[in-house]
Amino acid sequence: MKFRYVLIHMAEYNFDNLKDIDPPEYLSGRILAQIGEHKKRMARINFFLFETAGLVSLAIAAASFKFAIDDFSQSGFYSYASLIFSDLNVIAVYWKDFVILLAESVPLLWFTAFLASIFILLESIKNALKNKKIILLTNKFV
Amino acid sequence: MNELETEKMIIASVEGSEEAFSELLGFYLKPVFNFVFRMAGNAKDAEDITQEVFIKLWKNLKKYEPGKNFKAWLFSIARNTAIDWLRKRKNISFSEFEDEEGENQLFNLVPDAGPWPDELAVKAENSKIMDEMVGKLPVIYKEVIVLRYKNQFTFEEIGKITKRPLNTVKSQHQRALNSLRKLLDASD
Repeated sequence: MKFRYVLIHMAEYNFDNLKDIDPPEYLSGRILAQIGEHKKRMARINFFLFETAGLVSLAIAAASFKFAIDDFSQSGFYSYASLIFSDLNVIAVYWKDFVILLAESVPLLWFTAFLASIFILLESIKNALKNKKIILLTNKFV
Repeated sequence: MNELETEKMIIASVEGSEEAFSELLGFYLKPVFNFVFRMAGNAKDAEDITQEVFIKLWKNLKKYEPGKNFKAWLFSIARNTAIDWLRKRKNISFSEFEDEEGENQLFNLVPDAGPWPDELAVKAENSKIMDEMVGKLPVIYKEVIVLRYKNQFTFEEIGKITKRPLNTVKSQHQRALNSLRKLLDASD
């Protein structure tokens, strides 16, 4: 079979004769569906992780709150604090020392654990809800 | 879609806009599919590879650095995905001959058809013939030809996409054209 020869300048040669192939019409829908599925799968995993983190932090918050209250009552904080009502003049003079004394008597470790666990709990709830929303709404993408 | 619009779409997609991602997909699906089709050689594989490319794009869109050439970045994902796919299918038998610069020593042994003239004589009866000829090229040459002439990438951009030095890309381009010429001569 003989073909006709065409002289084409290199600079102008655009391989125009390489035909454009149209992707099948269903392909973009299939890709979006796959992405939707992936998104949903990731959201399910994240939801489970945040749910677990939320429950764990709730348990830690409850326990640390209890320990904080117990330590608080044993720390002598109430006795020191009652000085405000009985010896206000002395406290006014030595207020810096008094503040340090009060701060030292506070069970800081448990309070810190309590506040941190509350923070993690709130973040977990926020992220769990966000992922739940993705799970419920992902069908729109598909 | 110009670069500014593309950037806007990317930012919106990263922020979770499904419409923006759909628009990006709609705009780049055809060129990516065409490139991948020529790498894979058949529509079925091209569909699967294209799907994987856009899923990778969706996953990695956050890593895209604004101001960089998005099309070249996307094509590097497409190229790597296609190469991985072909390797899995063991369709690339010559990869073991590639050196660290991506040069295929096996094809270096093939004698040159002679100095390349300023003008290229090409039998271009119809698109089917051109497609067949390009399809017969080794993947390493095919990608350079398709990226250069079908997608209008510069040699520098091709170098970034294929992670090869500029000079390597240029010599591969030259060899690709030589190979194409040989194939066209042989089909006479």
